[in-house]
Amino acid sequence: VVSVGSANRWLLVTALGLVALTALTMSVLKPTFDLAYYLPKPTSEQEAVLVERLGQGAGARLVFAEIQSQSADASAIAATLKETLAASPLFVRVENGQFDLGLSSFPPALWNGRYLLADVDWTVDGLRVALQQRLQDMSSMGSPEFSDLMAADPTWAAMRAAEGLQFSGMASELRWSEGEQRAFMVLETKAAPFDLSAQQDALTALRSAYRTTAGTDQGLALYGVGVYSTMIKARVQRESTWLGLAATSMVLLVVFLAYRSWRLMLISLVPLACAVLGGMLLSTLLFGAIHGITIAFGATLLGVVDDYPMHIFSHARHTSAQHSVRRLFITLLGSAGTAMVAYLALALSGSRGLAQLGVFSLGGVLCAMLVTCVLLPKLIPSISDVAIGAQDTVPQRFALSMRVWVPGALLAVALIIGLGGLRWNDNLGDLTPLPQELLQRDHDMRVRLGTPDPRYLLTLTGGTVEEALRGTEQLTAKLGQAKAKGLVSGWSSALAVLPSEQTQLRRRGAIPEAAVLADSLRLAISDTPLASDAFEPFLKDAVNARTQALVTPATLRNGVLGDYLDSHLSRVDGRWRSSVYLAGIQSVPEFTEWLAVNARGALLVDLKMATQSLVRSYRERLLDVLVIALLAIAAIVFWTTRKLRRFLWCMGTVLAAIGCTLGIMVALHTSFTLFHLVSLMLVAGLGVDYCLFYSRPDVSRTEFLDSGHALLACSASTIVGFAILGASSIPMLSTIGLTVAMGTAIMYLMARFGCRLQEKS
Amino acid sequence: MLINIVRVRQQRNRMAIVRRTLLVLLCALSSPLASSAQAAQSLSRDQLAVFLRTLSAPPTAALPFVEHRMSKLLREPLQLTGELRIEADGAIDKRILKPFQERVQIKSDTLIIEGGQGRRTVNLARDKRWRAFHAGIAGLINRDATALSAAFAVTLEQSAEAWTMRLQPRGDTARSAPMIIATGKTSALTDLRIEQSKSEWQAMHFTSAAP
Repeated sequence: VVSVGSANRWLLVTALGLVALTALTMSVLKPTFDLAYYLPKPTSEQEAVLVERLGQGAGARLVFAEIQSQSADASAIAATLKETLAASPLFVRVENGQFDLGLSSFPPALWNGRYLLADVDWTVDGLRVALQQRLQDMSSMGSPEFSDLMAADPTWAAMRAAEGLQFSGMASELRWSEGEQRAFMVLETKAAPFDLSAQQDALTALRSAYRTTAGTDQGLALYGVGVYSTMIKARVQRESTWLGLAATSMVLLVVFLAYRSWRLMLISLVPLACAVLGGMLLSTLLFGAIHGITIAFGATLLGVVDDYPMHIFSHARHTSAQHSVRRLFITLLGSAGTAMVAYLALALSGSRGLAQLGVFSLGGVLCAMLVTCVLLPKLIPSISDVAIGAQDTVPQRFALSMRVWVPGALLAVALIIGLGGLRWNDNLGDLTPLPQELLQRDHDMRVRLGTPDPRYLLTLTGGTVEEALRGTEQLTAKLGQAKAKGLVSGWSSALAVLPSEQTQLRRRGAIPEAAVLADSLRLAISDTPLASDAFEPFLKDAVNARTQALVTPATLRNGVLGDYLDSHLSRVDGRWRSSVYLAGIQSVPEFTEWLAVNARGALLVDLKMATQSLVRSYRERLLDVLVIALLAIAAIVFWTTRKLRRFLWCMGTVLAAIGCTLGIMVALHTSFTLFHLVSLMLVAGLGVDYCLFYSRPDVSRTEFLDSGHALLACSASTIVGFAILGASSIPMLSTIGLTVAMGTAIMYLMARFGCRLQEKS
Repeated sequence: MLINIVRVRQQRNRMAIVRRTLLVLLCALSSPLASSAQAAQSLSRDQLAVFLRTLSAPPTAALPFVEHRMSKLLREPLQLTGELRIEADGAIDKRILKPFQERVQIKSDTLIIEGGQGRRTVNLARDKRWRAFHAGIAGLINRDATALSAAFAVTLEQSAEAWTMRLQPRGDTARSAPMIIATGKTSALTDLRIEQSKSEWQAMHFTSAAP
């Protein structure tokens, strides 16, 4: 017998324990958002590129800024922003269409290596042509800075090398402004687009610089993967906060209405809180870090443990909590055991992400069971001995009818067949909460500014860096032909900063000796108005370049060029992969056809298709795991029920309810996604719980009514909580909320009306 | 750097000459210039507005020009000849005919260069010097005393036959932006000189006025 004083003391200890557990979990918690963590092992080169480049590609790190100003020149604002942000460590590059004609505008590694990074015609005729072109440039763009640059590099080697780094280059006709009121910028963040914290820092710096420059927050529109990621994060946080609060409040209200006790209402939170904290702690300790998806999906799956305390509460209305636990232990163990078996199957699935999800949920259910069976009875004061003694102990019989679940199963099959079967949707992009106009505007900006399309890239691999770079040189030479045919408008590759050694040696070897170069220059200058001693800096640098060390990845390691190289050249499984990002593919089929004929070694990677392929693999893996889990669950249910008829009733009811939910969700959502699947896993867990409790053998009338009371409270709280989530405008939350609410309602009704008490006389 | 503009137009209408003469007289009588017509004088915005009104509107026909451009890299100034056209909407079309052929257009905020190296498009507002230079040229074309006074300190030397106006950039572009020196006779602009430094300058002379 637990006295009120003892229960209060244990309640205090529990509260302190929860605080300590929270502090411990938070101190070791290392959340990660690397999407690759959750992907299965790639089965094709396309998928391998996706996993490796996920969120790392040049196109995915870009932020597009559109500046609109009624009172000031938008281009001037863009120019000032560029000056301000170019020095920020948060951005790799900032472009507004301006390329400063000055020595200081070139990265040092590019300037020093200019004669290795670009081809130069060192003959007299070649130099003469270059000088004539510079004289023309002087007539339209001359300035003191131009003269300094021309004196040091009349061949314009640095300029051509730098143009390779630019999205559009100086020769571009692409527009960076429209009138005085609109200007455009492109910024490349150092952070990957899914590093949301760093992305947020970069965007805050950009907005702050704009506010300082323009004197207002108005008139700045931002586009890009990182922008959308932070936008979605903010929206999810905002909605999940108020929806979570509303759902929790409603669940607590249901618990309060069911038990009319503030104490029980608060105690009902203990097993779920311990489950989530325990799951997080266990996952972090075993995996080193915990993924955001694990927390989100895991917390959803742990919704099943919210039922455990309510079973105890309902039965403890007529007996002590300890007695209730003893009476319900086998059924509770069966319910928790089926959930744990399903999660164990996930943990052993071989996929790192699924394994973590499995461990999280398994650990959570285990914690909840322990807390429910060991701690909870100490928190609930016992009712008087009189009441305990008055409990009805006469076992009753139950009729487990097939009249509900069999028609339900047939209805589900008819519904699914009638709707044309189950259509899987592996395109997660369809679930984006972003408006379609925004995505279209993003596309328009990329076309306008000639930046790489984040969807397509070409890859080729080599055993060494040199091999990969030589292949890239051959590929880009061919791409020049494709550009001439209008198949593609541009590309960016590692060659802009790192040509092959072969090419660099050829370029270095072509630089004439000092005397020869001076002589050639003298002859080239002879029929121009240029001063003969004007190019001393050029002669000095060119002669030094003859003995200059070649440009290597180590040369570029730090700074802008190193970041650029990293996004275009990577080492994967002992081989080097060169990525060439494409811009302006006019027709993918035509380009693919051209590629098959002209560049066989290159692989066109469609990241969207690769994503869908990966999601399909993930889903197939999950389904395989669930089939195995289902067999194990069936075994546990059989062990718990001990009778074939009860076993068939339980499994039939659960499967029929899942089938009906599936059919209704397909009718509502037209297709089926991973989020539906995860939601149905929770519904199945709840369903096993409901059926096991309704079909408990040898229970008295009072116990049966207590089970009914508990299951009504459990299902009502689940339905209310998830229905509120279903009202979310975020497709993922809405899908999970609606599916679980609908599934739970169907499950409860089928279990409730499939079981009837046959009182013994 | 760029483009030099001039507007020259002969007065054919006698009434226009009378009007200009009256305005110049008015300007002379109402300003400090009256006391020292030959010395360079700073102009207030109102004085500048009065002076600008004496200038002819820009001609619509192509104006032949000879341009000399000097750089520290050159032994002698580069000589260019060509034609300059100023459209009614303020767009400028400069065609260099010798020693090479190149076309430079300014439309709205965009500089388009077409020649042997293909076509290049540059944002005109891409740096402060360009912006200051363009503000000066646009101010002269549009006879916008307010814009000129805001961007430049304006001085004027004037005699009965000729005048020279110096536009010295103000503010944060004062050091880097070029000084513009416009020279004219009576109501016509005949020369435009842009000085970026002692060794970097360009001077455009309009060889004949439009009919």
